[in-house]
Formats: sequence, structure tokens, C-alpha cells
Amino acid sequence: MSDPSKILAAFRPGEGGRLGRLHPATKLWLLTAMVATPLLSPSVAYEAACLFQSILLSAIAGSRDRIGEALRGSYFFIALIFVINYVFSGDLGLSASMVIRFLSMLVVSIALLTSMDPAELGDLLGMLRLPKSVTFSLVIALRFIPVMADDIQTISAAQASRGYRGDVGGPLERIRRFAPILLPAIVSAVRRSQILAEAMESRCFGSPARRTSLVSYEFGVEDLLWVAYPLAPLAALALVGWNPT
Amino acid sequence: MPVIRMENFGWRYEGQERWALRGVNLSVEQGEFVAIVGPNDSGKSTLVMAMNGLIPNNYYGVIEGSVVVKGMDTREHPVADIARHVGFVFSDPESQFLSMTVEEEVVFGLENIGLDVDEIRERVEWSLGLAHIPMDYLEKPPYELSGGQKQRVAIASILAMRPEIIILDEPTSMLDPVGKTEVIEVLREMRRSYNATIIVVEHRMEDIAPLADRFILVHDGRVLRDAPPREFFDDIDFLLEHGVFPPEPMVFVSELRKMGLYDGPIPLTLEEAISASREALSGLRGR
Repeated sequence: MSDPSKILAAFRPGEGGRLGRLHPATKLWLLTAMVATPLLSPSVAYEAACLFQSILLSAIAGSRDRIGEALRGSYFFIALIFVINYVFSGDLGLSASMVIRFLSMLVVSIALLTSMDPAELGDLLGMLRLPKSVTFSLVIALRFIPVMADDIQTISAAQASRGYRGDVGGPLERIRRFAPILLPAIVSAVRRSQILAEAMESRCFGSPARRTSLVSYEFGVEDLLWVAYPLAPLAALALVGWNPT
Repeated sequence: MPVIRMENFGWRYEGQERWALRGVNLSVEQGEFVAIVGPNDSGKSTLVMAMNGLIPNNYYGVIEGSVVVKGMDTREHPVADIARHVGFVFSDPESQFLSMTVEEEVVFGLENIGLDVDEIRERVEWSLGLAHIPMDYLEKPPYELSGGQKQRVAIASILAMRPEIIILDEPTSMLDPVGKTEVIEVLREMRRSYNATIIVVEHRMEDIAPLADRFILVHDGRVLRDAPPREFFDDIDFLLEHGVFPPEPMVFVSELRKMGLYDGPIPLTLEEAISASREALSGLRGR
């Protein structure tokens, strides 16, 4: 059964395997580069190489189970992406390309976001001198992923116990049927965000004092190797004499 | 000099006809343990939110009178300034967490006030000890803990900032009985070993009565009674009429008094209630 809440649940923070120990800047670079590259790619072959590279990364991060979980939850959307692209373009290659791009982004996002503690991201953006309000907005957005996943599961169970079924009917009917889950989840998220903002202020968030940090990060040799990793498909294709243009 | 002084304070939330609080005059001295009780929607949470500046800073509404905390008028200082002196623990522990580990949660406030790493470590150890959280919980995600543990982490994250005033707004209301007992035990520990002013909104009066210096009854936006525990519970009928349900041993002894079987003070603990009942029974036997 396609269950959108499974996609959210797959983004719960985890250990991240080897990736968990990398400098946050390296992880952010990997995430940005590997999400962007398939989007800029000119061919299905290159996109397939990116997908392979993302799958390899997820194996290193130990997030294969999470990806399986997310795929089970998103097969409906994958089918939808394929069908919509085929209906509007009539091009099977383009439709397949869009699906590969989606899969590539999904796999790499799960592998990297589950290996990145939101606080690391906050510290990193702080190092880049971004305003605290911006960095903490991002931190909280990531922090809320597992909370939202829990909320959606609880709300789904509560609605199911009153006879609700979200897995019947066509695509539009299913989207319409998601409303009894989505609306309470949004209300809950808004309520939680207000309490969280108050709790943060009650712990001097926004104080004019210069913020310190308990943890410090070091950029090592392993980080350097991983910085080069997103360029690998391009290098491999160049070696076999393939011209992307 | 009081650490909190409210003078003719009133607050009406935007869009509401009714005043959530009106004509509140009270002061809290350094080191006092104050319990605030009252029925639902009586204005208890509004009262404590006014004490740390969340009201009027974070809510829209109409204000009357003033609240001065450690010399700071809450109308003129942001919450982040007042929070250096006043810690606030909310009823829902989960909603207060923004970090993925217990350690990050506890150090969040300490990093905000710019403490150095050594002092942060010292305070983390101290606050977790006071909140009965083992040090090997530091790497655990807060959302995987039990309800009582979550609330104790929330309390530790406030204690770590060593505020002179700690406000707890119904800290046990969302916990199971085990979690409630754990949190009450932390309150006892705070009372014993941390000389802060503690203000707690709590329904478990049987646990709070032996700890508190004062009880305040809030009803329909007004402070109806403000007295030491024994005096506060002396007129049980008055409390019942105003939607407050005192602990059953107190009600039982109050009934003995009405029947003329006991004329001593209202007991604050179960042991005192047993002693009062024995006294009443021995008097009955002598008749």
C-alpha cells in the first residue's frame, strides 16, 4: 500500500554509518551537489550513473532499509511522475529520466539527512555567519520530521479506528482522502511550533550574547575524498570517452 | 525585595471579550516555593506566562497594570532578557525539544548565553544529576525517552541555566503516574538542594502541599486566596466551591472537624492525616 507518511518516517535521524563522522560542510556539499547534478544532467545515461552513485552512498550510510521504506511509501508518486510526463510529452525516455531524477534525489536525501544531526547543520550555517533565526528555522524544520511522522501515524491510527480508509479510489480520490490526516497534522505542527518558539526564547534564544558551541568540528582527509565524490560519474564518463553534449 | 511583583495586573487576549486575568496584586520573594491552583481556564497559565514575559511579548492582547521581574518591567524587556533570570518548563515536554540528543537539548540555553565549554560541561553534569538523568543518556534522542524522563530533561535544560526563578506550568499533566512521581521527586530535590524561587502550577496538591510555602487560588481570572498551605486548606468547602479538589485525606479530616471529632490543623501529609484520624478515633473511644 502506498503510504506518504512512510516517506517522512524514512527521514528520521540515524547513525549515518561512515557519513555520520564527516564534517557537516562535507555532508552539506554532498547533499547539494548530488541533488543538483541529476537535475542539470543532459542524458538518461548520466542520470543513471548519478542514481548508481546515490545507491552506493546510501549503502555506505547504512540507510538501505530506510530507502526501501520510502520507496514502498512513494511508488504511487513515482507512477504519477511517469504517467504525467508521458501524457504531456509522449516521450518514454523523458518520463524514465524524470523518475530516475526523483529516485536519485530521494536516495541521496535520505542517506545524507539521516546522517546529519540538525544541530550540525545549525552549527555549520552559524559558521557561515547566517542569522540565528535562519539557522534555527532550518534546524527546527529537520527536527520536526520525526515528530510529524509520529503525528501522522497517530492521526492515521485514530482516523482508521473511526472507519477511515486512505487507500481506496483513484489518484484524486486518494489525495482528497488524505485531508483528514493532513489537517490535524498541520494544526498539531502549528501548535507545537508556537510552544517550541516560546521554549527557545525561555532559554535565551535571541539573546545579544555571542553564541558558543560545545562541539567543534575538524575537516580531515576523509572529508576531502568525499568532496570529490559527486564528480566521480562525470570523471568516469569522461574516461570512457562519452561527451554529454 | 520581591523577585516578582504584579501590580493591578490584567490581561485580555486579542479577540476575547473576557479578561483572562484582572486586578492581580501579588509578590513573590526570593527562595519561596509557590503553588498555583485553580480550575481549568481560570487564568493560571496566563499568570505564569506573565511572570516570564511571554505575556505581553509573545501574545496580542490588552494589558493593565505591570509585572516587574528582578527589576525588569516585562513590557520593556524581551523574553530572552528575562529568561536569564526566569526558567520556564511547559506542560508538554516533547514540544519543548529542538535537539536530537539529550546533551544538545541541555546545552542549548547555555550556548545561547555564551558560556565557555568547561562551564557548559560542569553545568550539564550538575543539572542532569539534580534531575536524576543518568549521564549515559547524553547521546539518546529525547523523543525516545519515557514521558517522565522527557520532562526531567526539560527541567534539566532549564536548571542548567541556573535561573533565580523557575516556573513549571503543569509539569505532570501529560505524564503517566510513574512519570508524575519522577517529576515530583525532582521538585523535592530542587527544594532541598537548589535555593531558587520555584513557582509551580500543579494539580497534585498532595505532593506539593508539604513542599510549598504558599498556595495561590486563581479563579475566573482573579486571585481569590493566597496563603501558607495549612491556612489555604483550612476552609475545604471554599476550595470545593471554586473548583479545586483538595487531597482526599484533607477532605476526610475536614469532615471529622465538622463532626466535632477533631479540632487540630488540617493535615498536609498522609502521615499527618493518619495521626489526626487516630486522635479523632481515640476521642470517640473515650466518649
